[in-house]
Amino acid sequence: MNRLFLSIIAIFGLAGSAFAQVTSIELYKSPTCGCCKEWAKIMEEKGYTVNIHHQQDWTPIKQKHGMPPQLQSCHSAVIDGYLIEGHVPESDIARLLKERPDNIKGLAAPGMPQHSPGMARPGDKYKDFKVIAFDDQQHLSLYQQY
Amino acid sequence: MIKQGFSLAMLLISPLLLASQTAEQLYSTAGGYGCSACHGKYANGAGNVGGNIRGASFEQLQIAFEQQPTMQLLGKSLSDIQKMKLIAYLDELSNSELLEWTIDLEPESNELELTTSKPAQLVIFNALLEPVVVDLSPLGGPNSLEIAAYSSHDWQWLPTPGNYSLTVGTRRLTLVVPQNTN
Repeated sequence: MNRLFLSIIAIFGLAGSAFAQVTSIELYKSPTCGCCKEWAKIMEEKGYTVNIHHQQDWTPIKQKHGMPPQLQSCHSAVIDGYLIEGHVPESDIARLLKERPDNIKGLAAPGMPQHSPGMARPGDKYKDFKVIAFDDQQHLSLYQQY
Repeated sequence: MIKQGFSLAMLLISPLLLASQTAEQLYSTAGGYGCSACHGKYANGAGNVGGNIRGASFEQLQIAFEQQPTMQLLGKSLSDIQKMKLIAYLDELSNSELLEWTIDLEPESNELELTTSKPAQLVIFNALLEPVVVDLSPLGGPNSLEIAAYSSHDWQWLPTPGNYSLTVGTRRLTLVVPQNTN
């Protein structure tokens, strides 16, 4: 019985440490953009570790991950191999990391939606924007509608 | 008649566009993300937080750079000459009457009436997640312009009185150019 209990603890421990590894975010932003920091703050509050990199042009990162250019926002983030462009809510990222679909390369909240995380006032409901998924052929699909 | 109108429009508009190419590039790259990130590709807002800034004055730009927390760092990174270039570009855009057409899931018939005799800029936003083909020949443009998924495309022309109809599938836009515009 004790052995079974220890095995369960060990399995959950391994799963926990694996999750801890994927919560690290590499955030690529321009030094002059203020709103990206607000998005980073929200992600940190949700338990992610955010490593911020400053540079004006992050096109190579976006291209490397096959992001369609029309989905561009002010910042890009790489989380466990997925590209997250712009002010994507944490709940969508958590779902992506949990489900890990093979046909999605990343998510984007194109442009600068007023009522998105980091842009909306704290406590306000997210609304009036789409989170769009893209695959390795640059096909788009609706991931979440706010 | 339409083609003549179109050719005249191009003669009027093209030199202005060429002369301001650097300003347009600055608009789309300032800070790395460009003014377009918050104000749309054509400074038309396009549903983004910054809204439409076509025709903004230098004073308005300075106030925004000083008072908007998200713009303060960008303001410090631009020289006065760069700011003046941006203003010149926004002024140039305001010389065209903006018309916006969003192609979305709901098939709709829209009608837009021009209110001035200025050259017009039609901005078409394809909100669908697949490409669409638009026939712009009624406005002197290509008869099969493909607009990529979730992308915008513009078309500039010099309107002459009449009704012009554009269709994408079951969606229709009618542009009405009255006889007497200001």
